[in-house]
Amino acid sequence: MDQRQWVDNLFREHAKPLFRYLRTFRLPEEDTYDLVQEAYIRLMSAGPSKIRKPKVWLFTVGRNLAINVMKREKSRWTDAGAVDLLEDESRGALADLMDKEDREQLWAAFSALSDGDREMMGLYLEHEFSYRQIAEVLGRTEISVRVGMHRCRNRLKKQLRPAGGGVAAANAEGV
Amino acid sequence: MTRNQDVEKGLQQLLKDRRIPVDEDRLEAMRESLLRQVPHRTPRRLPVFFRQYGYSLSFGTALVLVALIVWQIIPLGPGNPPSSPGLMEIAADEGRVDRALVLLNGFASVASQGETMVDWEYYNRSMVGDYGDENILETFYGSI
Repeated sequence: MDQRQWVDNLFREHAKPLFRYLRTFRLPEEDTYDLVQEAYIRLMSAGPSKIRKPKVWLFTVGRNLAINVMKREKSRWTDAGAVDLLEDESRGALADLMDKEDREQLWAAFSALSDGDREMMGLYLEHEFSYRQIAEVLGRTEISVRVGMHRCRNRLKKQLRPAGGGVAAANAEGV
Repeated sequence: MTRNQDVEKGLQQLLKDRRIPVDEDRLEAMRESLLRQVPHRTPRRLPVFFRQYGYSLSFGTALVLVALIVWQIIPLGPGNPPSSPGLMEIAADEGRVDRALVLLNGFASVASQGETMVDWEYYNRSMVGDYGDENILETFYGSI
């Protein structure tokens, strides 16, 4: 596979998830597109021989770039671009799984987690990274990620319990 | 599947369904732009030997270069005096300067006796004959 094909495949496969992940850093939308582009430019410059796990590599580089931007332009970093929004309409598998009220409860519990915990759970659940891959992206050890995920689950459980009733609370109680 | 897994599955679906608008046209334009840049961004591929032994080779090359430089500066070895060709040349020049000074003393002594130029020539040529280097006299005349 030549370099062009390699870049093309990786862009089609990972650009959108990368954008969604970087968007959760709540940087302006324009900056987020720039970060995606910069991550891919660096990918091209490094070349396939130096990158064994392109998805992990892209997310790691994208995350570091986002953190650099946030440090450099703190004043521009606002919550105005917050994107943790739920779809108004339930759909597909989710609609079968729980009703709107349960979804809102679950989302509220998730939103109550710290930024770092949300990021970690997002990588695990939304982007389906393994613990080892999450550790690489976040620059932590795998054990630390395992412990962190365990704590996240406990916090979620704690958040869901007081509400009482609902599928989410019932499910969490069964842990 | 445990109930905890059900919660995670629900949360996973929530996250995947999160409303994060993505401008597909913009991503497509970005993809095309990146693909146009590929020829300029492609890293130079070294031969396999260099890729495999790149660092060792760099270190070895640096070592050889340092050895050459040291050898040029201090050409020590069995039977070699601790001096460079440059130093030997300077020493030879000093020898010629010494001989020239002897000749100058000769001119001075002749001049003090009020002899003519022809006599100087004769006198100095005989001196040069003693030293066996006529060029020194010519160089001296050329310089004044």
